[in-house]
Amino acid sequence: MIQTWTKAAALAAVLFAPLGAATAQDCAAPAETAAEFVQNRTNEAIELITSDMSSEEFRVFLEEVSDFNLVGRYVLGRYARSAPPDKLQKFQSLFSDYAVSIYENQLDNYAGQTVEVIDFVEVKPRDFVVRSEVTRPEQDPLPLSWRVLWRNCSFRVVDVEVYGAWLAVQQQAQFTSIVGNAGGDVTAAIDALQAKIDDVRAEG
Amino acid sequence: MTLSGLRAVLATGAALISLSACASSNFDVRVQPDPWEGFNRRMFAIHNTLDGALLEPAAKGYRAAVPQKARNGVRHGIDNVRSPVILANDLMQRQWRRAGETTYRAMINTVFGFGGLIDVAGRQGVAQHSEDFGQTLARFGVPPGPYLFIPLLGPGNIRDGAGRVADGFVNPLTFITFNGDFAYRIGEFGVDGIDQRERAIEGLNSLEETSFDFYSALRQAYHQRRLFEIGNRNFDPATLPDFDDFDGEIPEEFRDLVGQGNGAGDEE
Repeated sequence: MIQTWTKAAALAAVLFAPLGAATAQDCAAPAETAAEFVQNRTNEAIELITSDMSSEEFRVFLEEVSDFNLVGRYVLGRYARSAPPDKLQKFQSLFSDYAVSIYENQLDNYAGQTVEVIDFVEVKPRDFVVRSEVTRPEQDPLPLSWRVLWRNCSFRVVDVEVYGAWLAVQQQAQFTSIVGNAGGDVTAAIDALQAKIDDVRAEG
Repeated sequence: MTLSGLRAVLATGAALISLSACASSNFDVRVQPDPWEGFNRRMFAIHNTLDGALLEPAAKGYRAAVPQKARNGVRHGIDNVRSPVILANDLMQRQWRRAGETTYRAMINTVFGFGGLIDVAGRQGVAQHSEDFGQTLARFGVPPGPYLFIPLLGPGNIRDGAGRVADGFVNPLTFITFNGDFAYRIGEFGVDGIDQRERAIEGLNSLEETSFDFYSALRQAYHQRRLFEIGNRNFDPATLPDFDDFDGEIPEEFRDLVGQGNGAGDEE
């Protein structure tokens, strides 16, 4: 299950696609629902994955539909508030690099997969969970939920869930433990991120 | 269940419910409290050594020696034997429909599934579900209590550990002895452990490879999995973090270091 969750989380992120159409003229009134946002972007992303996409294009796609800076602060938990600004920025920058490198390595795993949105739940104003199902060749469908926020006049994905496991929540538990065991020094989290990025790039 | 067993279950429940009254103010559903982290990490290290030397090789040997269909039969058989445990907790949680499903599954699978080795009810659309006294306590409002990692048993917490003990009093194998020993219960425990480890080979390896800190990754995975089971696989907004708490302003002097407009000081 854990492996399925890990792969699905990677799938969720890689399926993000350009957000232009989602941006409403009136920021207070989205042109589409959160559910339509996920459905439309995943459909577009599947088409993009099958085309020849450069690493830079891929990074732009991900950064347009996800809020890596917000997620980067979230995964540091309470240490995001106490971290020196330069270290926080370093961490956020590396976190973005890490996310992109992880998902780039998973691109080959998504052939033949489709995403069908089932419904969505409003957690609070401008904060939604969209539930979907991923169909995979010769495998059981995979339930996948997306945490979507309405920010900066557009929807942004900040977390994904499979079988109850939310990826950002999981990562927050790890980074806060790492930083906590280092006496609150965010440098420990930066070092851990850098080491993981190096590993991923070495494998790729 | 024997009378002494019932008393033990009720006493455990009463004690933990009392505990919840004084601990509820610290109960954050998203976080597994780990005040004994140093001790737990040492236990985790011991477990990993034992796992590498014993459990994982045994699980791989089990996979190599026993075909998938036979392993599925073993899993179904263990699930079927535990039906009284699941039913008792369905009833305590007043989950009548699920209690009916558990009863139906036990009857159909025992009679038509060769004692439970074949999941006939599952093929009819009545799927297996998990339920245990730890979940029942959680639904009564008992917090998880401190995280506790025990070598060979794996991750857990005080509430779920007490739940496991209580469930033992409802498990029919607990009361079947062979020459005075609880041979069947011990056998079920061993087979279940190897089967669970076999099913987790890829998952645990993947978690270890992708995690930044395997110990806390496993702790959180356990916690989230339990929340999912306690909620009967239903979405609960109360378990979600509020990202607004982290939507702080980036100091102006550092804004040029990162991309703009991606969550910094968002205002609609």
